[in-house]
Amino acid sequence: MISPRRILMYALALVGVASAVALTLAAELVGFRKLEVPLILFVLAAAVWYGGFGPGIVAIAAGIASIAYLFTEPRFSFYIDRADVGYFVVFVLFAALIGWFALRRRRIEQELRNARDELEARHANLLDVTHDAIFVRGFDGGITYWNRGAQELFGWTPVQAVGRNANELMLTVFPRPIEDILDELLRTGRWEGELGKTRADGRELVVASRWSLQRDHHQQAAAILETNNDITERKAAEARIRKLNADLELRTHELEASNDELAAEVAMRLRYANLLELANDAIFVRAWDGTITYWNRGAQELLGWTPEQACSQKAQELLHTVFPASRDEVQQELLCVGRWEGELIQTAANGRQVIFATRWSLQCDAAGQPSAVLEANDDITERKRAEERIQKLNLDVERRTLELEASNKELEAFAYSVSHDLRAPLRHVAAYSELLQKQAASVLDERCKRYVENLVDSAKKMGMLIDDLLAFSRIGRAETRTTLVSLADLAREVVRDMERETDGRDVEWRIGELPEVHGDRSMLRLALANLLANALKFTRPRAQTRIEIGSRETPSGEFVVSVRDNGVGFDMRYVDKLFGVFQRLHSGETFEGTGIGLATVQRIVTRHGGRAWAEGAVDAGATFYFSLPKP
Amino acid sequence: MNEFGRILLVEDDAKDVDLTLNALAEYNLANEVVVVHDGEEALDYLNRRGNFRTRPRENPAVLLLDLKLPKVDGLEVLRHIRESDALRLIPVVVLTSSREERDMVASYTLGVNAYVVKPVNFHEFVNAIKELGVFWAVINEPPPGSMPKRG
Repeated sequence: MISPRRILMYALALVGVASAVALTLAAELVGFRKLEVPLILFVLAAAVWYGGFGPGIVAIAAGIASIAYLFTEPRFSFYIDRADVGYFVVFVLFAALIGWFALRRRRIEQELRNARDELEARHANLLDVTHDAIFVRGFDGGITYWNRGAQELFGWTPVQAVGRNANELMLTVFPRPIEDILDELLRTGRWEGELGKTRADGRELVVASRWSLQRDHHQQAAAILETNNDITERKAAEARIRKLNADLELRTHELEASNDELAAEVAMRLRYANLLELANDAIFVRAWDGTITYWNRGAQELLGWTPEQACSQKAQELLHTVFPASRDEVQQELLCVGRWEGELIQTAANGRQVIFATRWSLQCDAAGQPSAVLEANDDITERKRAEERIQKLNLDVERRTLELEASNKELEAFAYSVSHDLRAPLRHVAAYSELLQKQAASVLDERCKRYVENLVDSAKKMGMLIDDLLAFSRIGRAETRTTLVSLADLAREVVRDMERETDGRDVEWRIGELPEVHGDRSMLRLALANLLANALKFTRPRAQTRIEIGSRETPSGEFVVSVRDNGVGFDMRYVDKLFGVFQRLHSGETFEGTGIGLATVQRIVTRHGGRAWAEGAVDAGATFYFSLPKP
Repeated sequence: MNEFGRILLVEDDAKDVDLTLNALAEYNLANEVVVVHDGEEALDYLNRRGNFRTRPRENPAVLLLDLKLPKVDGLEVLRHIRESDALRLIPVVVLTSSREERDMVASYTLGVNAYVVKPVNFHEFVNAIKELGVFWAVINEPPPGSMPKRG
């Protein structure tokens, strides 16, 4: 197949020759002759140069024919004179030589071009094969080369890209001023870095870019080859990873913190749990719905269930709790103030009813909603029983006290009544007896007078008895007025009083060391007076009376006061009767008395926290003792 | 017995009244005595009420008062006298069988002028009454507004 270009070349060869002929003819008209040969040779050379062998032959042939027809004699005939044959041969040879040179030159040119094209094609292919986006741009920014990778990456075809300004096309974003980058590129011939670029479809990319400087043969900067790798995904991945890392780190921190908190809480709970385990109280925790979630050792011991048995049971159902108030009230208070205290009755595993002093604490969750109740229970069953016993005892004592008070009141009323009502008729008996004695003395005989005397005497004696008895009862009833009393002073006082009644008797009083004691002065005086009067009375038969008053201290911290006499004494067999009311060991004729004196002594001493006793022997004197606590 | 006298004896026991008057008679003081037999009567007399509406306006020179009395007892009578503006100046002597301490304390607290326990012994009783009568009705100057001495 002959290509149209080739036909064109042949045509041009013919046209060239025709042009040369026409030019020669035109020149002949103005006087220039013999221009046909150089012009046709020139056309030949051009035809060979541009058209190759074929057009060259056509040009030679056309040239020879033209010369033969127009420029050799005979003109306008193809006849060639013999003389001109040489000329034609030289011409043909010369033309062939020129044609050959031109052809040769054209071949070399063609080969060179082919080799270069091949090389370029190979390079271009290599650059196209790579997935890197590679382009070349002049130092002014104009793109001169654009490979397939660049097309794929950025979206523009080479035709679209070449000639455009690279940075404007791709809206390049530089990491630092472009001047710095170019400066580095010019100094070192290369630069590497990450650039932001925008694709044809508007998508933004991040590329890893490597620039190489190309210099021309004058070592002037000519172009920049830019190789770009799409690292958008990698960057995004990196960013994601960085974010993930950051998140992870944060989360790790959080986890660590919460771990620490957890550890602390666990430690605290363990510590509390251990402490709670140590407590003797029955302590348990129940969730708001009543489910037991914790059960300590005390609870196990007091109620019988192990933690495993108790936990996850409902507290109410397990323990049959009996509340002091309505359950709602208890709940209400718990919710209001967060705690409740009271006494409960719970039933243990073995059926025993246990009374607890209980303290409830409400636990709330983070939202403030009640979540659990901690119950600390103290077993007060024994204490309650003891309290009940004590209460009962107290009641008994109170009742006894009331009874005693009542009987004391009765006694007082009795004594009061005796004092008023018994004495009045007695006085009347005495009074009328005396009136009778006085006014009827003239009509009464001796015997009747003695009767009336006896009447008067008896009435007087009964008056004394009543007075003594009332005095005695008063000692039991009267309130004591306690002061510090010197027994020595008291003894001297009493003795001084007694000495008036001992006229004619030889009485030797010996008052030894006597202590000071706490007591009611008038009562102690009465006791001492009774004892001394007693001693004086029962020594009356003695020609010489000796009465000794002394004291000693006992190891147990008491004073013991003694009154010793040298009187008639008594039989120790009847010692028990000495201190009884109206008990007498001697007849009224021998020794007067109502039998109340020693009973009074004993009562006074008893009221002072001491006791009274006696030692004696018939006709060998007697010693009366009483003890009093040391002040 | 005189209806209006200088001595008002408040005594429920007839024998005691008899013996008291007997003793006072020895000094001719018996007819100076007005006797009432319980606390209510005593208050009626003092306040000129009931049977005693017509008694003279003057108060007795002394009141001999037993403590154990029917209706209103002696301490109540004493309290009433001491709380009444018209009566509070009347000298009052408690004359009783009892030696009970609480009676004595209560009487003195209410402002009694003397407290005498009737002795069992008749001699002593007569002496005590005589001395009381002579002292309060004769020797002592009664407060203004009391009954004047006779003759």
